[in-house]
Amino acid sequence: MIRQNLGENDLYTLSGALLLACFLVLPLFQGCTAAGGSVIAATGTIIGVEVSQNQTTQTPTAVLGYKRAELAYVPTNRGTANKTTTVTGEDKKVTKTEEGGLQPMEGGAKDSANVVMELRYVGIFDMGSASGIYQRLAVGDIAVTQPGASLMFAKDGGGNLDSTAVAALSAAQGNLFAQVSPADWKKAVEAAGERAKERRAKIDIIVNKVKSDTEESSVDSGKLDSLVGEAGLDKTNVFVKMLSKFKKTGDLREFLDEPGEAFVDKLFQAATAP
Amino acid sequence: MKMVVIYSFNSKEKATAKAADLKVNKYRLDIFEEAVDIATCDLSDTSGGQCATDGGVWIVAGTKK
Repeated sequence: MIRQNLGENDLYTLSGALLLACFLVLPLFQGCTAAGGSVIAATGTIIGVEVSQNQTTQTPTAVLGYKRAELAYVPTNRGTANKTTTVTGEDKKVTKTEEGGLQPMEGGAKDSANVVMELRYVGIFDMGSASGIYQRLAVGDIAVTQPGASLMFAKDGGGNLDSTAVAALSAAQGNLFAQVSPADWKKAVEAAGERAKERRAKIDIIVNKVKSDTEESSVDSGKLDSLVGEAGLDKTNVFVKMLSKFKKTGDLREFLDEPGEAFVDKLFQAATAP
Repeated sequence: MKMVVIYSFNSKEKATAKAADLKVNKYRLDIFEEAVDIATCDLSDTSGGQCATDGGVWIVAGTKK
């Protein structure tokens, strides 16, 4: 028997060595990359489990730890055109502007991505299916709100979607995706974007027409009242009455951009009438 | 300016279009429900009015802060 061939201290040493050999290191890396003006979202995770036995008291000890580093280099519409680089030498500073590259689009650097990450470790000492590590990552405005990402994050560790998760998901999204397919929703949002562009162009003209001559950010209530009259709007209508509450052009613009849209067309026609 | 809007519609297409409008205008979509039996609002305590709509309608509501 092995025990007969080893001293007692030798046995403790062997047991400790075997238990220490249970050390598990699991590196996880996820992310996405893209060229200039874009994003790198990365996460590096090391999970370690150490199981050992105190040689004096024979008490087993288990330690779980993880080390995690995450980096998000966020995508934007900033573009790379006319990128300026400054290099400082020993005695001079050189600034270089590169020609060409991508032009910025729409909101430029304000158009940045959202990132959602999740790390989960379960069943540390379970040798069966309950033990596992998973990490999830969604990048981008659409990715973190679209149903695919929501479904991915709603799954349990086994990749299943139970009824509780479905109910929670449905509630969190106002039941939207239980009733509208992602493809239909995408089309609707695109159409809404076009409508918003047209409406805001009209609102710009309306606001420009009623702004104060002395203070550009203020509404001239006399001009606004005249425009409402020229547009033939019902001054007893609750929305029309609310128009007079806005003293700042920004507030008026915001109000017209949503509930007031029903009479934006009439105000626009009056504002552009010869 | 914090704003809350509530709409009722008699078709899925109109409700979806308005929900998309809210999304584009940075609203949080709070309600997107079909076949609502009773929808009422009462703003009378704060100088507003009251409203109600029949059953079987779509209701869309959103909040922007």
